[in-house]
Amino acid sequence: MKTYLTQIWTISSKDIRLEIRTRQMTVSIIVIVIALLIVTNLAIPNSADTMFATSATVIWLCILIASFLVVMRNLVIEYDPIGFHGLIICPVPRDAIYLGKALSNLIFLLAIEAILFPLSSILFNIPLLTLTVAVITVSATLGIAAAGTLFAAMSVNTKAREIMLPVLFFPAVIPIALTAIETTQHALQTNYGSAIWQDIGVLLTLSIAITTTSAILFTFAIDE
Amino acid sequence: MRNWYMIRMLVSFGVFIIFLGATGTTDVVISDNGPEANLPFLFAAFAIAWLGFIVYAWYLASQHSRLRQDLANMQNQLTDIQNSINNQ
Amino acid sequence: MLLQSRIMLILILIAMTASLYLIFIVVPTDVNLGISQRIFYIHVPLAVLSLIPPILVFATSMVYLVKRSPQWDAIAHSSVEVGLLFTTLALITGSIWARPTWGVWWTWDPVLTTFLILWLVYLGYLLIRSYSTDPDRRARFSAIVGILGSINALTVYLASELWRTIHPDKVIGPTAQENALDPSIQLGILVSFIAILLLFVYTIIFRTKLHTATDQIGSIQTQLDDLVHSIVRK
Repeated sequence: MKTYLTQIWTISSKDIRLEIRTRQMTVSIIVIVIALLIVTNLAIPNSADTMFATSATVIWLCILIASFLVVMRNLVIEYDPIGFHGLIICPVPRDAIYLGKALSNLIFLLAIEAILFPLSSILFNIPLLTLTVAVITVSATLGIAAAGTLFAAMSVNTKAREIMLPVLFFPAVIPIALTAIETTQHALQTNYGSAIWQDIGVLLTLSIAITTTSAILFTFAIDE
Repeated sequence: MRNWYMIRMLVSFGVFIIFLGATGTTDVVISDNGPEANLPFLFAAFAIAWLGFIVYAWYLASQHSRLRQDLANMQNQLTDIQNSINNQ
Repeated sequence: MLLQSRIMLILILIAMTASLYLIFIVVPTDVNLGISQRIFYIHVPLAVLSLIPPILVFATSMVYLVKRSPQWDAIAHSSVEVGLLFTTLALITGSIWARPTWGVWWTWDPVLTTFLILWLVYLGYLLIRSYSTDPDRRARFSAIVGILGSINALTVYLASELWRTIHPDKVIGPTAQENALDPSIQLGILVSFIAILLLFVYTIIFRTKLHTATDQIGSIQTQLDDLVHSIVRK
């Protein structure tokens, strides 16, 4: 078990170390996300009644777009005939490779969200920096990173990967995103009851189900 | 291939006309002008459902005829091979 | 045509005729919704049956990944194609029903939204099949998309339970209210459901056979081409 976890951490720490040194991906994606946030904030009228709904929707839309860019970039850097096969012939289980890549995607996304949420909290004037919102965010991002890693691994090997990834990725993560948006809207209201924990439970269950299924299916996705 | 394209164009046009008939000339009424006020909507729904099934059946039939064509070509190839072996 | 195929088609014809008779002659007109309420008799079976392909695809894709037999891939592909047809028709007929009832063509109700997502998942499945050139990779990737996509389909039923919805309360199925419908309406829905179910089953079987025959002819053609090349070389 300890060896397995070490293998997962070795693969994801490689990506994290690379990103810390180059800072190519996260900085560019944060810039894109901020631009999106500003555009949507200006374009969508935000009255007092719809404020929570609008802001939750805008934030999660930005996260979806950021996650698409993160998973694509994280797999494309592996994709050259030697690099990708080098990863596959590593003496580690395939699901450890998958979990390592998914973990690095999750960490990148959480880093982007760590910038996005305080900024949104200021721009929209909403109470985003709470424990409940943090739990919702981590649960949903786990599922999004898991699905994205699997589909990116499949798309990288097809002819039209720039088209295939969004076609596969967005329909797959929309249920998680929808649940996250609904739950975030409720969490932003100060008088949410204990029912929100039921919704968080559903979100977590969905994310864990997708992660587990994707880990099993990854072996078949790169079975060359 | 060209026939299939023509058929798709005709069907899309037919669906568009049905929608125009159902919506452009009818106001949305709920029991104001009697129970048959929304007849065009009923017609449109059933017509589109039937059209959908017929178009798919047509697509399956075209796949089937392509298969038969491939089989006929293979049969001809086999006959040619047989003849060339006999001639040798 | 095989005897079973003919029997199936005759049964479909009888069931369709019976359902049309019931829909247009027997069932009473709804007092509030008028004649457009009869769209239910085609919309509900289409919508319910479009939830069956995800289950089929899930099962057959898993079996394919384990056994790698092309027959299972054929069934999965056929299920998705037929599922796409039924979901498209369910969305369109539902939209036409919604216009006189709710006053809008579309609303972002959770049930409708998740049906739209299901439609996108089916499209994604067919797209990845068209973009993959290698048959083995095509089947593997489709199986993966099918398995994950069918998990999405679960949220269709869950959505109507968890979130507030303006979709009509379920009046058929295991969680429906008892005696929610008039008996003649129940009969109308039942016969329509049987007719469309028979059509659904027949279409999937026919499409699977067509898919298998296409694959077999493709492999025979390849062997024939190899034979021709070897003879020419000699």
